[in-house]
Amino acid sequence: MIGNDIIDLNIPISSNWNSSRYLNKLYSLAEQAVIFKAENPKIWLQLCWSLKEAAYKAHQRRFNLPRTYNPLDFQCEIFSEEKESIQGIVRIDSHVYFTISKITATNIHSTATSEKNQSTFFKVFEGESNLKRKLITEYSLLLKEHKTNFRIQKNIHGIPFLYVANKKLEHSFSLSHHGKYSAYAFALMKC
Amino acid sequence: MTEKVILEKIKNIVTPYVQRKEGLENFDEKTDFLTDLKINSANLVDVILDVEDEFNIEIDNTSMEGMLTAGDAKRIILIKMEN
Repeated sequence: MIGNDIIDLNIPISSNWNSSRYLNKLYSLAEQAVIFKAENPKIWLQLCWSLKEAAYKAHQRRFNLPRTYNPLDFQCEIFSEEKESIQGIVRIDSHVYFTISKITATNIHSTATSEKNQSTFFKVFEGESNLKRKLITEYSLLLKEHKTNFRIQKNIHGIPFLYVANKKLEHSFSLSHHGKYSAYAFALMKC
Repeated sequence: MTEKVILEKIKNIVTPYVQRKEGLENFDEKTDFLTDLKINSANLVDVILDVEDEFNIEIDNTSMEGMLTAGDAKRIILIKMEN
């Protein structure tokens, strides 16, 4: 299963970000310690958030869960600090999600998967874009079906699914928008 | 405080964070903060902090989990104000 999250760094973060009331509702004390030890706590705070969001989406899809706002249930750990490919994990209950993130000057993108070595593919777009149409173009090439046969429809919990000629596919993908950026990620094998 | 007043106050609190302004036109209990108003999930906590300040209550994490619509927020506020 897969989830992804994009953060537009041009959008200012909450003015409350430095208050304990704000932090304690979103981040564990361990996460806060890591964030404030970082060279740039504001970036690390948003990186940690993108890990939680990406893992939330993968977890929600995996178990077909109703939407909920429970960021503290998702605990993130970051292992490597290489900006091009930051590796981490997110734990929720007894489950672990493996994350890879990339920080640029303008955005943060994270992908979370339930399998450690899951092959994934993601793309980040800038400006107005029809993300669903772009993803369908990818699947059209991958599955060798004409573009017009595909559609993406959300289920009752808001989880998007791919249909081809009205047949629901089990392919795992994730869509994300923030500010002027959007991104998709998908698993390269059915999972 | 009537339920109508509470909903009006919730509407005022969320307005600065709304990215889809037309979602405010039919603001009622069913209005979903994330899907109808397109409030960013990272800003939902700001809404929650503003609600705490406005109504002088504390919203615990369990209540926060279920605060997705204006109606959810109203019910949580009413319960917390009774306690």
